[in-house]
Amino acid sequence: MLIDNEKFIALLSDNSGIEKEKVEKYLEELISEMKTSFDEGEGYEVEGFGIFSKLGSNILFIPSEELETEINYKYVGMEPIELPGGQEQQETKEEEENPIQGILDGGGTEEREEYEDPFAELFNEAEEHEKSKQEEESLDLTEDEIEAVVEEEIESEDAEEIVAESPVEEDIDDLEESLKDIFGEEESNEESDEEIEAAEEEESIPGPKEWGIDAHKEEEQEDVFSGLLGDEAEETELIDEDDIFATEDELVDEEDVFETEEKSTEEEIIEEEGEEEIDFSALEDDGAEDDFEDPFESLEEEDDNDFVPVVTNVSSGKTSKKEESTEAEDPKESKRTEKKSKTPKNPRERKKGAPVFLYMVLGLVVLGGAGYLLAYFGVVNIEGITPSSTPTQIVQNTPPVVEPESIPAQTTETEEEQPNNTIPEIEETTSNQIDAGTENTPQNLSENTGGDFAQAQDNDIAPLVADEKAPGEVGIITPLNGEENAEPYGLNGTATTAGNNGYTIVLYTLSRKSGADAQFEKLSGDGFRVIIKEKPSTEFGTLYRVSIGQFRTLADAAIAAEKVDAQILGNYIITKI
Amino acid sequence: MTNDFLKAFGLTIRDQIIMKNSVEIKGLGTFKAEHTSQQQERKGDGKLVMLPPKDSIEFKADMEE
Repeated sequence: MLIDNEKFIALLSDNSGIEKEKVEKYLEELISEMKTSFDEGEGYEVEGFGIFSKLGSNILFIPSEELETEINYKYVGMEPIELPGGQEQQETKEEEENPIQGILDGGGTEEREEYEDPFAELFNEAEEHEKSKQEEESLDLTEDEIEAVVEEEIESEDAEEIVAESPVEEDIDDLEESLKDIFGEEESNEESDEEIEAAEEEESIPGPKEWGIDAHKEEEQEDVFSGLLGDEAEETELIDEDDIFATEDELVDEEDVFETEEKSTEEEIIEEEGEEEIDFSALEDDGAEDDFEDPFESLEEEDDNDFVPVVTNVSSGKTSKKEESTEAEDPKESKRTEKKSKTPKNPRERKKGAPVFLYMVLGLVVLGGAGYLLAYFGVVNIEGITPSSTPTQIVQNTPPVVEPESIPAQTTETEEEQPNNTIPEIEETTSNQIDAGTENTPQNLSENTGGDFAQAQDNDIAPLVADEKAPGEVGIITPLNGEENAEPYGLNGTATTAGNNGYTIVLYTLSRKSGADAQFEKLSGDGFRVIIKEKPSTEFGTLYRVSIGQFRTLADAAIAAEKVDAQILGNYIITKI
Repeated sequence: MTNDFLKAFGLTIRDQIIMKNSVEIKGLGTFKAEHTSQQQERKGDGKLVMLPPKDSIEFKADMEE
């Protein structure tokens, strides 16, 4: 749409409040000033709007920042977005590739290391070292060193060392032979040494770490059975296992073993082993330190202890003597703890004991809940729980107090109200299980309530009414039309006594009588049949309930309420008068 | 010519431009609203940028001079 000069001048005069003629004059002045400034070779700035400048024969307009921003208000918050593309795209590609490479290169090794560690802890580090070449090298080193250790130990001529080594070799035949040699004659040690060396040479082909694995497996199986069968199984097992598990009587022998181990490790310290073996020591130490875990770990610890004579000495080469001495002590303690943990089997016994107690508690809770529910629903009548038992007694007591006093007070209304009172009495006598609330409502009807507070305060109001002994007019303040010809029910006109047994539309419940009277005058002026009823409340004192209409049934009231103007009605409630 | 007039001058043109109207001032020229929809722009460093939509005011001088 084009705003031509005339329209613009009209708009300008409207906005500025300046007359049109002046506006035209000012506009001409403005243009002439611009031209003079252009002639002088200068620009002309209208503050807050922009700069006009002449370039050649053309006039340029440079809007001010304010104008630019105000024009673009609807695009506020929209800022340039860098898109993936061009060099940026390439850069992003490179950036994307890098993390992938990082994952493939660095992350892969990290994962391998991560995988290695748990296995090393669980299975005495044997399997994982087969994965990498470095680890294979370390295996070779350990092979040589273990052989060296074995030779040194054999030189020390302690038969018990051989016994300790024999489970590592894991060939039961060899074990038995070595055991016979050990417990037979010392002279046969040399032969046994030769045999052991031969066996080790044979087994060094698959790798010494596999000893640990296989020996581990066999011992695990044995230990599992022994754990299931108890101590007897251990006793009946081979003699070498007795030595391995080191019953407390035999600990002296093991101390000898550890002494020889220390000797061997001292020699090894001089030789200086590879760095990777330090890892073994750390791993084995970790394994040995995990004393307070599952029985399976205790089994593994036994294995560690079994390996102590051979492997730990080799691996713990760089550890100090003190640490080794502590290691030598640790296995004793761990063995004791293992025996303790095996024999009593505490966790299983506890698990058996706890559920029984829980089941008993659960059963009691269920029984109690069921009893309460039965009582609550009236299947079993228990005083204090069954809801119908106590309130009915109270209700039955109250009506006789109310009735004789209300009847003499009222002459006209009692006729209509008596049926109201008699009906609930019948109900009360016939059925004991009627809700207290429903039984109280007829009372309230006979008195002065039944309004919108009745739902929440029935129980509070009922004794109040009984105490107050009922106001004389049943709470209805408004004048009633006592004529017999008057229609008892209806929305308009004046309230009738005959219609007081019906329903009404409650508009307000006010705390001041003056306000209720004002509403009465206003609504009756509109032609409505207005009823103001006093409503005692424990919390708010006496309230005045303003309602319109008298209806025979609830449905009539609802239908009538729909016809009433919503502004008059507001939030209305239909209730008994 | 007062400041109020100049303020009203700017405001009136601005309002009309915001309402997408073009304003013709005799002897001076015509102000017109121009809408630039969002568009991609490759900057000097190779970055590709999506520019938001924009309204701008264009002035075309009267050629009577």
